[in-house]
Amino acid sequence: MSYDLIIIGAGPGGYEAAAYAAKLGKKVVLFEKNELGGTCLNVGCIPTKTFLRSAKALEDCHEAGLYGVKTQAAVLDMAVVQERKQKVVSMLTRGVGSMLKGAKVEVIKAEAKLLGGGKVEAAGKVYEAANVLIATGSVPAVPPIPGLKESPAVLDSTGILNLTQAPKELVIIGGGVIGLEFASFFASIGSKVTIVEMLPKIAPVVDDEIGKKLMAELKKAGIVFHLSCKVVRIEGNTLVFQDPEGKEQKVSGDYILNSTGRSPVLRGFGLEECHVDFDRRGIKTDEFGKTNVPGLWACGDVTGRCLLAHAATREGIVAVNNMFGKPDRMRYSAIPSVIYTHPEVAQVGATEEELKSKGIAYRKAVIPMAIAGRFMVEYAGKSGTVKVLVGEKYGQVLGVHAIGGCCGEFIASASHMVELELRVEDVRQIVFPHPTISEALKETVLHA
Amino acid sequence: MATGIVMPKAGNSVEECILSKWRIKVGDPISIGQIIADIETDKSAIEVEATAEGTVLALFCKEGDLVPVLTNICAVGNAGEDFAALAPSGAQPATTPSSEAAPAPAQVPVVAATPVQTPVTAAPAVENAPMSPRARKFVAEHPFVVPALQGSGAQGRIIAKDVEEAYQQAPRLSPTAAALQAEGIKAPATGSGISGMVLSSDMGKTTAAAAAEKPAALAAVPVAAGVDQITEKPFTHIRKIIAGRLQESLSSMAQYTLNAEADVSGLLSLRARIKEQGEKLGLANINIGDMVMFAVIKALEKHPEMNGEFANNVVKLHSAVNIGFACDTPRGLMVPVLHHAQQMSLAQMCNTVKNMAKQANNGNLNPDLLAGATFTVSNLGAFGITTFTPVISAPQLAILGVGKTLLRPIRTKSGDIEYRDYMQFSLTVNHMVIDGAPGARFLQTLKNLIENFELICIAG
Repeated sequence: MSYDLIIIGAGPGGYEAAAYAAKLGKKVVLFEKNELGGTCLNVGCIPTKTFLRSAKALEDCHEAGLYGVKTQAAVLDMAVVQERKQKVVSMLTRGVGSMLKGAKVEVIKAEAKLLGGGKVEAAGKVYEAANVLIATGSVPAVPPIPGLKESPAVLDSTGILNLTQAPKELVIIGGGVIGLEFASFFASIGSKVTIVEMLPKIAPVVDDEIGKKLMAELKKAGIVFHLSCKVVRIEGNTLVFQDPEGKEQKVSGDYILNSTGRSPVLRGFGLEECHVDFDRRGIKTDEFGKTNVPGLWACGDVTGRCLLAHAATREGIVAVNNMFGKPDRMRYSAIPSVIYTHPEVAQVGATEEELKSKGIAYRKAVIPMAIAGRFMVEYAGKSGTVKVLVGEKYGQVLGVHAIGGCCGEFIASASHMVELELRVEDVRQIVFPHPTISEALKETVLHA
Repeated sequence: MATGIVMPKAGNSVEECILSKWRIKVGDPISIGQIIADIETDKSAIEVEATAEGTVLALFCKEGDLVPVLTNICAVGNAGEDFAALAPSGAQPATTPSSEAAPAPAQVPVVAATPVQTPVTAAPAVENAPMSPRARKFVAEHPFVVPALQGSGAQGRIIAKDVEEAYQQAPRLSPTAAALQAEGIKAPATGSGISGMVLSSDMGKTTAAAAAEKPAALAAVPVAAGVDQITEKPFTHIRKIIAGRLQESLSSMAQYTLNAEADVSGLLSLRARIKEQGEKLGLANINIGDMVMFAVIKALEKHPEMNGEFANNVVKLHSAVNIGFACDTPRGLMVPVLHHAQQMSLAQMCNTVKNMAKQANNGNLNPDLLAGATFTVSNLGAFGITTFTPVISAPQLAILGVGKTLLRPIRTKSGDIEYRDYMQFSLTVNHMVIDGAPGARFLQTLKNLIENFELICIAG
C-alpha cells in the first residue's frame, strides 16, 4: 500500500501532524501500538492535571471561609478522583479518534517497524510512503540505582497515576517538573512528601529567582527537600542517599516515586538498521525535522530537543510543511512552559542566568502579581510574582517568568511578545482587559 | 525675497537633464549645500545641491521631467512669499506635496498618537522609484521588507495602495529590527522569524544567512513545484541610453576581434620594484593596468590610423590621444576620458585615472570628461576573463579589451622551456575602416612596447 506519509506514534506530535498532512490533501497512515493521544493524553499532561484540579477543589474548600463561605470538613476520595481522570482521558482520546477520522487519516492500532527505503511493516503487512515521521515519544527513565528495579515500592509516573489511596508517606526521586507536580498534589491531599534531588536546585529550567520562590511555597505546604543529594541505593521502601557532607541518610515511604527524567523510545522498531543517527538523548534532527536519512523525519520527545507536548506538535507540523514543499523551520526561542504545582509557575524566553552567561545586556522588573486588582480578588491570602527581562538598548522582551495565580494562562501573551520582539513601548500600546490578572504581565513589562 | 534654484549646467555639452527624484517637498526647510534632487544626463547621475536656503515654496517640475539647464526647478524663501516670477514660463508649479496625500512631514515623528519614534528615515529598500508621502508614511509605520515595486501612480510613482498590498505579502520587520533599520543597518529580504519576519538577529546579514532554508531535495520526495517570483525592473534613463548605443554600435559597424598576448614579466618586475621603492619617489600607486594603458597610449601615437572616429563615410583621425577607460560604477558602466593623454607622464596618467575613477564611482564626475574619446580600453582581467569581444563605443574606430595573464611555456634561444606570464588582449576593430593587417600591426606594436616597457619610459 502506498502513502504520502507514514507516522509512527499517535501522541501530540504524531496525531497533529497526521491531521495537518491529511488536510493538505495527503494520503496519511498513522500507527499507534497503545492508545491514541500518547503519553500526554493517557499517562502524562492530562491525567496529572485532573489530579491537581481535584486537589485545588479541596484547597478551595479549606479556604472557603476567606470568601464568606462556611463548609464542613472536606474530604478527597481518590477513587472518585480516579474515575474523573478516566472519564476525561477517554473523552479526549475518543475526541482525537474522531478528529482523525474526520480528517481522513487512516489509523492502525499496531506496532510498526521501519524496514528502510520508505517501507514500514505492521501486523504482517508492508506499507510504503515517500515520507516517514517518527513520533514514538519517551518513557520514564530508569536510573541505574541499585535496588530500584527490584523494590515493589518504586513507582514511575505512570504507575503512581493508578493509586486509589493517598499514601501516608511518599518519597520522590527527582526535583524536576514531574516530581514537583506529584509532590504538590500528594502534599495537598495529606501525604508527607520528601524530595531527594541531585542538583542544588529544583526545576533547573526555571529562572533562579522564581525557582527559589516556588521552593519556599512548596516548603510551606510541608514538602521536605534534600538538594545536592545523590541516591545511593533502595532497600524495599527505604531510600538511602548521600548528603552534601558525604554522610548517608535514609528516608522511607509507602511508595518511592522515580521521576528522574524521560528517555526517548529508540529501540525495537528498526531505527539502528535504517542507519538513523541517534544518541541517548534522542534521534538527531535539524530545525526542519529531518534526520540524516532522506525521507525519514522525527518530532517530539523522541528527538530529545524539547520535552513538551506543544513543542512536539509544532515540530511535527514543521516537518510536514517541509516534506510537502512549504519551507518552515522550528524556533525554540519563545516556547512557553508551565509547571502545574500549587502555586503554578510559567515562563517563556530566556532566564536571567542565560542572559548573563551569554553576555546579553538586559534590564529587569520583578513585580508582585497583586499589582493587578483581580489578583487580590481571586487569590485572597496568596502571593504571586511576575518577572520580565528586556534588552538593555531596545527594550525588547527577552524573557517572562511568573509564579502564582493563573500565570499559566497569560504566559501565551508573553510568548507573543518574545516571538515578535515587541519592545516595552510596543507593549504599552496593547490594551489588556481590566480587571484581569494578565494586567500584571503588562505592568511588569512597563516597569522594565 | 524668494529665490530660484536652477537646473545646473553639468558640463559644456549638456543642454538638458532629467529630474529623476526630488529629495525635498514644498514646505521643507533647506540649507545651502543640502541635496535637493537627483538629476540624470545622458552620461551620468548627479545630485543637485541647494544654492539658496529657506523654505521650499514651490517645485516647478515633476520627477521624470526633462528640464533645460539653467531653468528654475524650484523656489525657496520665507513661507508666504510670492514666487510667481520665478516659475519658468509654462511650468505648473506644485505647491502642495502631492494631489494624493495629506501632508506627511518627513522630520516630525510620523503620527502624533504614536509615541514610538519611528523616523521616516527608516528608508524602504527601493532606491530608484519615487514614493508618495502617504506611501512613505505607511512604510514607516508598518516596517516590512519593501520589494522593488512597480508604482501604479503617475510615471511609475509608488503610491500608498502599492505598499499596502506589498505589506500583506512581504516579510515584516519586528519592531526591534525596525529600530535597527532606522539606525542604518540593512535588512535581508527574509528573516528567521514567523513567516519570514526579519528579527533583530537577522539584521545586517545576507538573505541567505538569515532566511529559512529550503531543505535540499530528498530522494523520492515529491516536492511541489517551486514558486517563481518575478521582479520587474524598468530601465533607468541611463540604461536606456547605454542600451541604445550598444545596439547601434553593433548594427552600424562590421566589428571583428583580434586576440594577442604579450610577455609582462618586465612589467611585473618593474611593479615589484615600484612597490618596494616607489613611495619615496611618489610612484607608489602605479600598477600593471596603468603601465598597460601607458603602452596603449604610446602605441596609438605610432598608429594614428587607430585613433579617431568614423561617421557618415568620413574617418576623423585625431592628433590628441583621448583615451577612455571603462569603469564599473554603482550607476552602471561609465567611461571617463583622459584628454591629451599623450602629454602625460606615467605617474601623471596614473594619478589622473585614479581620481577620475573615484569621481565616476561617486557620481560626481564632470560630464565633459565622459565625452570625446578617440580610443577606449576595457580591462576585465581582475574578473578572470582571458579574452572577450569588446564592443566599440561608436563612433570610435576600435576598442582594446585587456584580460588576465596566463602562464605560457616558451622556447628560449638555448632550446630550453621556460614559463612566462602573458597578458591577454582582445582588439575589436571596425572592419569598414581598418582591415585585419593594420589591426594586427597595432597589436604587434603594443606587444613590443609592453615587452620593452622600460625603454618607452626612457623615450618619454
